[in-house]
Formats: sequence, structure tokens, C-alpha cells
Amino acid sequence: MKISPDITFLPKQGHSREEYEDAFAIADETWPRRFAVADGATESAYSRVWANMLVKGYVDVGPDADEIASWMDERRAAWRTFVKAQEQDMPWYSAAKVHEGAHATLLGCTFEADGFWEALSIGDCCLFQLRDSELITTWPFTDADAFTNMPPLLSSQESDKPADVQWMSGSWEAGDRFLLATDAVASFLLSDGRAKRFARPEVNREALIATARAQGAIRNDDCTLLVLTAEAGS
Amino acid sequence: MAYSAEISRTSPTAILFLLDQSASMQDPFGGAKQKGDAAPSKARVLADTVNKLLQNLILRCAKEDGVRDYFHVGVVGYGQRVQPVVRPAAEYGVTDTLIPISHLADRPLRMEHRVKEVADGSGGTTKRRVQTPVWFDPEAKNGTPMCQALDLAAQSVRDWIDLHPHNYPPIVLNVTDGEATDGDPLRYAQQLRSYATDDGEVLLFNIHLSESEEAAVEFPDAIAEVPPDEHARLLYQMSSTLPFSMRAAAEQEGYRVTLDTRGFVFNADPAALVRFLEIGTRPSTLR
Repeated sequence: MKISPDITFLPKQGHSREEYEDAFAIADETWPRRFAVADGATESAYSRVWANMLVKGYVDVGPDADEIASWMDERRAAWRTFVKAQEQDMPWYSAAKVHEGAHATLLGCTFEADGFWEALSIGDCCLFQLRDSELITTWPFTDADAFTNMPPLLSSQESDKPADVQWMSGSWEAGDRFLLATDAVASFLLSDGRAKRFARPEVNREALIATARAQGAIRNDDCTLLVLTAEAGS
Repeated sequence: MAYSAEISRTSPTAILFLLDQSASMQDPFGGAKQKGDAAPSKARVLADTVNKLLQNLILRCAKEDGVRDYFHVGVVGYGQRVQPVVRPAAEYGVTDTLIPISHLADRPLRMEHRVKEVADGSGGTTKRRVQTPVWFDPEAKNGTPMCQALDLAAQSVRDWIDLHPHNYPPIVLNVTDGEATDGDPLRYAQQLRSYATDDGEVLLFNIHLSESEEAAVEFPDAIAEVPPDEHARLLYQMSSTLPFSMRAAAEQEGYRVTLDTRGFVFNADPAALVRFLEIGTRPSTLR
């Protein structure tokens, strides 16, 4: 068995690829297979760096509920090291900004060889699972109206408030498809059976997203969609 | 829907502060005076608050590659003179009242060095030297030429709208502690609010700084909520209703809001001033 990933990502309209602040990571060589997407907050600096630290940290470690607190501490320590290296000769606003920290949402999913999967989410990325072309899991949101401009975020700074981490698990089998999406695509996929359409192997997802964005059906935000297909073979 | 234009570097909005610098701004806030505290003057509190707000606006726009021009910002003082009190460095060659925010970021009047307690990342705190930018100092002289200030604001936003006809419309925040001494400001306010982009009319919000220990009247949605005072009712009439994003920001601060809620505060203390400016500068999500 194997899990084959297919990634589609687009920066905000009017922004360059260097300004794309979502992130994704894939570890599909050995079991357990791990995949993650994240969305760095626009109003913090170096959000892309932080979002990348989170997705890479997720696919490297795959923390469970017992390990998540220490996993976050390690990511924050990495962030402090990064900040220290940047501090020289910064203008006042960059220095202040970097000390405010960066913020991101995160969705990670781990697949075990025995057909078990477990996901964690902080914020408003969404996971969809399809079997025989039917949607069997939509998580953590099931409704496009649930999205707000202020989702829970994972901060690079220590906080008195623990991060709002949610967990989900299930089983997978050959032929299943999983969609991991950051918020703009996720809210779009939640209506009109779009998740099913986007999961089909033959569709050009980038073109569909670009068209939907041009029509105003997807709001102008970074878009990331990771489609995973469970297949027989190695 | 009005007031829904995206705010981005290619489609910025404008924020203009009108600050009363009349002689009475030398006095402390109403409550503080009666208690006999050695309280700072209203002019001092206002300058500190607006300098801090400019800093926060810049930080909202700051990314690793610099400050993005989501906002064009102006600060006009009215007292002895009516004029912009914040100017960019001469090399930008900008003479407009409304300045791209990156130009402000690059050239404050001075940087003040302060020591701040910050979290050390392992549960404790540590002292860190922070640089605090200052763009203008307090001033308090002569009368209250509010009509002239509103007129200057109208010219500035009209010129700005000519260049940005499709953008989120300019927001004007007027802070005063007294009555206009140069005419009827309602007429000037109506003129200012008559200018519009495709996304809506210019927004004018007013805040009156306290003279008494009476509780503030914050974000009223009917004139009956406003004290039966001619000046208070005039400022209420001058004020725009809050657009959607600011109603949401006000609700987050714990205010009860309706579609008729106006961007108006009467008899504000320093904390109410901070909340008013914070809510009034939340036009919508930055892209």
C-alpha cells in the first residue's frame, strides 16, 4: 500500500510566489506516512517561516496528544533561534514585529500501515475523506458558515492560553482519498459537493481554483490543497 | 455591499486623524482634575495615544520585506493653526496630508528608548530595551477651529478619492474636547461625508474627551442615549454609523451594537479613547 500525494497551491491574487504564506509538507517514503498543511497569518511577519517550521515539524515527529506540548516547545525554541539570527540591523518595526511572534493554523494527518489514521488541527484548515466517491469525513468544520476572520492560531510565542488543538482519527483503505485544505479552499469545498468533484483524479485543480477565485467564489487568499490517494502497490 | 472593498497594497485605504490642539487641551481629563491628581494633560494623553496607534498601524502592515502600504495616513492638528502635524521625510517629495504608511515608518520625529518587561519564553519575564517611535509632540493653544479642520479633511479625502475611486473609503477620526469656535461644524461634516468611492461614503467618527466625572456614552445607536446637550447632539449627528467590520470589532470589545450604532463617544476617559481609535481603524481584513 502507498499514499500518493498531489499538491495544488496558489498565492493570493496580486502576490508573488515568494509571498505565499501557506505551507505544506509530505513524508511519504516510510510508514507512518505523514502530511501537513498550514496557513501563516497575514498580519504577522515571517509567517511563512513559522508555517514551514510547523508542517516540517509535524511530518518529522507526528506528535500525539501526549507529545503535543513538548512538540510545541521545540518548535518555539526553533523560532527563537531563527529570530536571534535575524535581529541584527533591523529597522524598529521589524524588530518589534518579530518580537510579537508569528501565527499560523495547522492541519496534520498521520497514516499507519495497518489502516489507522489520526489528524490534529489548530484553526480552520479542513480534512475531507472520500470512499467510493462518497464523502465520509468532513472535519473539523462541516459548514462554510463556520469560518471567521479569527480562527484559533498557533503562536510562536509562549502564551498563558493553551493552543486550541483538536484531534480526529479513523480508518483508511485502498481507494480512499483525503483532501487537506487551508481555509479559503476548505470553505469553498464545503458547499455544493465540491469536495467530491475536486477529489477526482482527472481534474485540473489549479485551474478550478483560479476560475473560482476569478468569479469571487473563493476569497482572495493563499490557497493550498493536498489530495492524498491510498493505493495498492508500493 | 458597501465597505467591503479589499484592502491591499494595490488598493489601500486612508485614515485621517483630526486632533484638537486648543488651549483647553492643557487641562487633564475631567475625572482626574476633580480628584486633584497630578494627571497628564489631555494633549499629552492624546499625543501618546495617537503615536502608539500609528506604531500599531505600522506593525499591522509590517512584513519581513518591509512595511506594506495598506494605509495612507494623515494627522491634522487644529488649535493655533490647522495643519498636518506628521510629515514624511523631504526626500519623498510628498506634500499631501495623506501619506503612504511606509513613509511614516521610515522617518519618525525621533526614537525613544524604553525598557519593557517581556516574556522570556520559559514562564518568566526579562527586561528588553525597546525603541519607541514618536511622530509628533503635544500642543495646546488658542481656540477650536474644527470647521477649518473638517474643511481641510474634505479637500484631502476628495483629492485622495480622485486617485483611488474604487477603494475602501477614507476614515476620518476627529478627537476634540470642546465646541468649534469657527462656525457650525455639522455643515462641514456633511460636506466631508458626501464624498464617496464606489465602496461607500467617507466615514467620520467623533470622540469628545471628558470634562466631568460622568460616565462616557460610547457608540450610541439613538440620539436619546446622548446627554441632552447641544454640543453632544451635534457631534452625534456629525458621526457616521459603523460599517460591518467595525461593528464586529466593537462587539469583540464588549459593546452592544446595532445597524444604527454610530462611531461616536461622548465624555471619554483615556481608556475609552484607546478603544474608540482601535475600533475606528479596523476597516476590514488586510490582503
